[in-house]
Amino acid sequence: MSKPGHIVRGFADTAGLCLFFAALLGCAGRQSTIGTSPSPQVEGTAELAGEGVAQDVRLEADSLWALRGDPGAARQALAAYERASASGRADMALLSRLSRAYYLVANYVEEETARKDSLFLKGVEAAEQAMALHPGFHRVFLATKDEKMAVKELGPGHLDAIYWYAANLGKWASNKSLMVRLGNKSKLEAFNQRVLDIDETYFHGAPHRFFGALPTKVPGGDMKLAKSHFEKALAIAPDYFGTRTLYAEFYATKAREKQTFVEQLDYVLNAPLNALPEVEPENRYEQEYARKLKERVNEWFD
Amino acid sequence: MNGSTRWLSSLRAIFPPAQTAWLALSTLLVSTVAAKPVEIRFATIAPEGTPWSEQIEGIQKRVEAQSQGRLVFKPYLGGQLGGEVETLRSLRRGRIQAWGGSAGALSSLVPELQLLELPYLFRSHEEADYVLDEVLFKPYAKLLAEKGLVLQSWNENGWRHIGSKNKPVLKPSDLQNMKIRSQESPIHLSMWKALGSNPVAISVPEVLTSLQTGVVDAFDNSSLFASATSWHTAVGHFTLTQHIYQPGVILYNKAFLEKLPEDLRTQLLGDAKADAVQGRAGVRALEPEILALMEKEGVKVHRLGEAERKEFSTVLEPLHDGFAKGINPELLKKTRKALEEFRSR
Repeated sequence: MSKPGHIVRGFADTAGLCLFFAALLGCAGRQSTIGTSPSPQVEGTAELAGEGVAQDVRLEADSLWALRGDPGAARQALAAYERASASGRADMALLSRLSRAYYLVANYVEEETARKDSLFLKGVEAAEQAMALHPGFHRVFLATKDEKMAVKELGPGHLDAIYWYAANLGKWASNKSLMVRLGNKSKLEAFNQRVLDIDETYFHGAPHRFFGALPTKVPGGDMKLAKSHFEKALAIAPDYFGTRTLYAEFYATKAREKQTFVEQLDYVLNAPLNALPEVEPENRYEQEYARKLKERVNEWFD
Repeated sequence: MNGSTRWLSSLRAIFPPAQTAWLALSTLLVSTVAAKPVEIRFATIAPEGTPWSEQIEGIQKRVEAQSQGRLVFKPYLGGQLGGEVETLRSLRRGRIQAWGGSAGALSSLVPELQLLELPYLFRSHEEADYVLDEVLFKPYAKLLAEKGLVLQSWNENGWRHIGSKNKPVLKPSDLQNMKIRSQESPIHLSMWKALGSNPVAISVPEVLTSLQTGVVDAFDNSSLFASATSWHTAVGHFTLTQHIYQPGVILYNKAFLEKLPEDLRTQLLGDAKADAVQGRAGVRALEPEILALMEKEGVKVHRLGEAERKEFSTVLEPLHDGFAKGINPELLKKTRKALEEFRSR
C-alpha cells in the first residue's frame, strides 16, 4: 500500500466547510466552465456503465474505485475515470463520479498544496460540466450567470453533481485569501442548502455536516446550531467517521468540549472499518486522521 | 548594558581574556545546543488568510529568525482555543503566551478601553493612528500591565457602519423609531437612543435570524464583520457612517515575558508602530473589496461625505462627557487635547 497523503482536514465531503466562507464564478482566478460545456443532451443520470463511453474503461475505473482506500488505487481510479470521461460522450453520473474522485485524491492522497488545488479545481469543473448537461440548469445559468439560481433547477437525480461541486469548491477556497472565501461563501451555502432541501440524508448527512461546520468558522457563529447539525448528521449516519472527526476538530475545540472531542475520536478509533461498507475506504483515511487529532488533545485542551 | 554584555563583563572579572573568550564560546555552544526552544502559543479568533493572520505570521517569521529558533511561535487561528473572552482568561493564567483580539473584548478587564467606543471620537484613520500610537499606547500599556498583560502592538478591526433593511440611513432622522441591533453596552445603547432609534440588545449568533425575521431592521458593524457573518445578506443598504473606530490589540502574558532573557524579550516586542502600520494597511486595503462584493450581492452601499457624517457626530459627540467618569476623565481629556492639536495642524 502506498503512503497516504496528509489530510489537510480529514472531513471527506464536507463541502468545503472550511470556510468561514468560500465563490465560484466570482472567485478570484476562476471562471465557470459552464458556458463552454457541451450543450445539454442528457437529462438526469445514467448508470456508470452507460452509453457513449468506452465500457471497458468505465468498468476498470469502477473496479479500482472499490479499492480507493489504497492511495495508489485511488490515483489509478481517478486516471481511469479521466480516460472514461474523455473517451466518449460524457454523462452526468460519470462526471459526478469523476468530480468525487478528484476530491478523494486531493483530500486524502496528495500532499502538495499546488497539486491538491489543481485537483479540487478539476473536481469543480467536472461537476460543472455534469450540471450543465441539465437543460434547466444550463438555461438559467446562461440567462443569469448565477449558479445559485441555476442550482434550483436541479433535483434528486442530480445530488452527486451538486454536492461534489460544492465539496471541491469549498476545499479549494478554504486555503485561499479572505476575499476568495467570502466571495464563495454564499454559493457554498446555496448548494448545500439545495442538497439539504432535497435529501438531508444525502451522503451520510453531508448537508448537516456542512451546516454544522460553518458556524464554527464564522466570527460569533451560533455554536448551538453547529452542534445541532452535527448531531443530526450523526443520527443519520453514526458510522460515517468524517462527521465525527469534523465534529471533534471544528466544533469541540472551539466550544471547549474536551469530552465531546475525546468521545468522537474514541468512537472512530474503536469502531470497525466495515461498519459502513460503502465508505470503508474513506473511513480508513478518517481513522488515521482521528489518531493524529487525538495525539493533539493536550494542545487544545491544556 | 544588556543581559549578554553584563554576563561577559562578569566573566572578564574572573578570567583572563583568552580564557574568557573560550569559556564564553563553549558555554554559549552548550547552552544553544541544550536549550529547549521557548514555545509561544498565540490564540486569536482571526481566521487564516486575513490581514490579522498575516500580521501574526510576520511577527512569527521575524521572531523565529532573530532568535535563531530559540523562540517558536504556534499560532492558533480561527478560535481553535476558544473565543476571545476564554482565551484572554487563558492568557492571564499563562496557559497561552500571546493573544490577538479586539479592544472591545478587553474592555471588561480594562474599562478605560471603552473610551475608544465613544461615537465619533475619531474622524479619520489619521486621527486614530496618531492618538493610538502617540498618545494612548503608553497609558494603555500601563493599565494592561497592571492586569498582567503586555501590549505588543495595535492592529485594526475597522470602522463601524450601519446596515439597514428597507431604507438607507443617510441622516440621523432616518434612524427615528428604527429597531436596531445593539451591543449590550451602555455606550452603544445610549448612542442609538440619542439618534431616536429603538435599540435591541442581541447576541452575535442571533443577529442574522433577528434581521431575517424582522425582530430588528438594522445593525452596525464593520464591513468585514458584516460580510463574514452574512448579516449583509439580510439588508438592502449599507451606509458608511464611520461612527466608531475599533482597533485590535496583540498582547503577551507579562510574567512569561519577564522570565525571558532580555534579547528574546526585545525580539518578541519588536517595533510596535511598524507592526501596527502593517496590520492596519492590510485591513484598510480589504474594505473596498468587501464593499464591492456586497454591491455585487445586491446591497446598496452609501458613501457619506464629511458634512453628512457631521450631522451624526453633532448628535453623538455630546454623549462623551456623560461617560467620562466611568471611563477615566483624565484619559478623555488627554485624548481631546491631542485631537485638538492634531486637527489644528
